Amino acid sequence: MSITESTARKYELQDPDVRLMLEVRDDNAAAFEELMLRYQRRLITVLEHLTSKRDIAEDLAQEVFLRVYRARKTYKPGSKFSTWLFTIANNVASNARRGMARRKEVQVDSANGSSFMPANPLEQMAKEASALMPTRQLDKLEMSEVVRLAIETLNERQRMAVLLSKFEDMSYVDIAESMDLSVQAIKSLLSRARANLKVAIEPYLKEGAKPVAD
Amino acid sequence: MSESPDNSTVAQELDEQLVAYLDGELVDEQRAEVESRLASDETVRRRLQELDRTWELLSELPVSEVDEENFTRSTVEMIAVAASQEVEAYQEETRKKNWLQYSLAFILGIAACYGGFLLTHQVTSAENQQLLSDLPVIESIDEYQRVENIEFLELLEQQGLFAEEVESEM
Repeated sequence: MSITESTARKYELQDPDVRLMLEVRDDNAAAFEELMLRYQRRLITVLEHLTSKRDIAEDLAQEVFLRVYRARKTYKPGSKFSTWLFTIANNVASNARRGMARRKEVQVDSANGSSFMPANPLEQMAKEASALMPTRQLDKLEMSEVVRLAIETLNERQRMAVLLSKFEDMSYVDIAESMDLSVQAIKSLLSRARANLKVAIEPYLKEGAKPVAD
Repeated sequence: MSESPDNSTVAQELDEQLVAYLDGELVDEQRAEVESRLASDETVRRRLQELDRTWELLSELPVSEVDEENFTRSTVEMIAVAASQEVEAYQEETRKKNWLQYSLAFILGIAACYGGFLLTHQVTSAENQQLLSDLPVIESIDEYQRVENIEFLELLEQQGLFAEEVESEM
């Protein structure tokens, strides 16, 4: 879909990062560095939770910035810069997932479509936690791990939608654009994702909430 | 307990509305409708709280720690390498294009030379043919110039006085 001049002008006026990207288009290296500084942590955070692997997340983030650089000459603002950036990130992550699946470097979870992580890590952890320490309160570190594993039970689309919503505070419209889906599809994805997360996390909340026996 | 498809669809639609409500994605009318249901239905209120609590727990996920200077430097270096490769590829393509243009110009030059040669050859050949046919006359031009008129020569030919010389030259 072509971007009209008025749309481009609107985003240029509204979004300072779009203005920076337009400077990158004019070969301003300092502007590109500034954009990287603004987005690298956010990008790596989303990609790390998406892939569950820090080194892969950093490689993918670099690939995203490389694509931004290569696309600079044809850049025309048709959305907020962050939406455009995470559209690229979503494509890069999808390509990486397909590549990994082809090379069979990871075990594919056929039940939920997740391919970055081995199957049922949360279930395994639940059994271990239940067997070893059934009655104690979950501490912050463990809670963080439980949530991380719960995220990994979601399929790729649900996970991406959740991460963009939670970490990037994106609207449904922006998430839909980043993931090339309809707004209604995003509404359903996020609803199912929250319900799935509840199912995955609830046993821990109940287990952890039990008082310590004398 | 398994839900019937209808119940499952209804539950899914309710979840969608509640989640959209929590995310601030409903228009005024839809929001009012959800708030009305929340006010009148304890089950819906409990479901909203569960979904909200789970969402809040996602805040426990850590934000990645990044060595920003190192990451930026390595990314810029990687992009610089990619950019130089792009420049090299562009130069190589330009070299190929130039070579093609020079080759084409050379071939056209050769073709033009050959065409010129053929044309010149054709023109000069015609001139030579004319000269060749005129050679007996040219060789004896001095003698012919001494004769005052053509009728005299025709008379000499009719009498056959120089038939042998004429035949030998023909």
